[in-house]
Amino acid sequence: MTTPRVNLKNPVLAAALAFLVPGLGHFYQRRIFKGVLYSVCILGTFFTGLSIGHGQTVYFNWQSSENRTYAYLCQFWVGLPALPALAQSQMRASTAFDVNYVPKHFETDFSGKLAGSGDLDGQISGHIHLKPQQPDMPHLWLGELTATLTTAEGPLAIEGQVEPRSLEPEVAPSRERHLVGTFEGNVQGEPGRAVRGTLEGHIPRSLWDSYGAPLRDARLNDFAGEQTDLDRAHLELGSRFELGVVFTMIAGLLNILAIYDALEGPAYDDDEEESQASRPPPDPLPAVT
Amino acid sequence: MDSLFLLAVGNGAWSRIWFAIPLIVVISLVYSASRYESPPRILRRAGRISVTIAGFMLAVLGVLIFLSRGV
Repeated sequence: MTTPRVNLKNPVLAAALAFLVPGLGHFYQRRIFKGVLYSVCILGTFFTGLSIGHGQTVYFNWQSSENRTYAYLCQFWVGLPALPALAQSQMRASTAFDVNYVPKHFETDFSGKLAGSGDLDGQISGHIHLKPQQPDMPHLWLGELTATLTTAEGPLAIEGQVEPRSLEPEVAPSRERHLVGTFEGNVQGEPGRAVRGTLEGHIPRSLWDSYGAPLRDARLNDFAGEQTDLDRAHLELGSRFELGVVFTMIAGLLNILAIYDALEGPAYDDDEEESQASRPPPDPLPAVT
Repeated sequence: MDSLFLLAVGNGAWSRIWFAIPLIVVISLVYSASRYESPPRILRRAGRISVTIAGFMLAVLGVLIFLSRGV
């Protein structure tokens, strides 16, 4: 270990802090300029990469067909911002990644559109109550919708049941959970006026269920030919997906330098270069006689 | 040559190569900060490293454009 001229306080603690949040170890050491530089540069690069890839570029998966070990190994060094990806992959139950899985009833917002209902086609916004059809059959759900349907004739209050077609998994890298079903109900206050059509839209997905969620190449209960998460991400983002991965990987690798700097101090003394420059040139070799 | 040049400087709404500029700056700053402690020295060295990396990349781009003539 070198003897740095900078006061590193407790270098091991500083390195641990620098790992958790880039720059935090340097703030602890009162190296404010470096703390700001590391946090802005490294976190800025990481979140820029995440943003370029629409939040889908940082995840971990080490199953053989969808391995994501090496990219995540680089991203891991950013610390706290990258750690949820590890938790998503290792701590969530496998059913959290199943389509059409509703283990217990819950109520949430819904927005989307109704189609195939003749002159009552339009935009829908309201609340949906989802529940399993039987307590021991969580892959068969049922919905009860109360919403406002905006049609050509104006807004109408509707209510009715939603028969399932598809519901995205609980955990996926998007803040919206896509839902498709068949709606059958009526206009509120007009019992004779039935509404029936295909309902397509989304319910919100929490940050915990979407941040760092793995992209799935294939699921056990996929229908043949259905688009996978990875297909969809590449289709949506094109080369921006890989660009986002590169940004986040570089951010992680740069933080290794910052962690080492917190642990050992800078590689060179600041006056080392000056002293080398001001040193007189070496004596010429004596002439060989 | 035209297609490679367009890919490099801008084809449509955005071009991938411009994303290299913030990366070059960030890499230079963090690398220099891990070498030195004095802020002016860090910034000076980062500037020099940025120019070196950008120059090297431009030279490689020039070689690729030259090699892709007529393709």
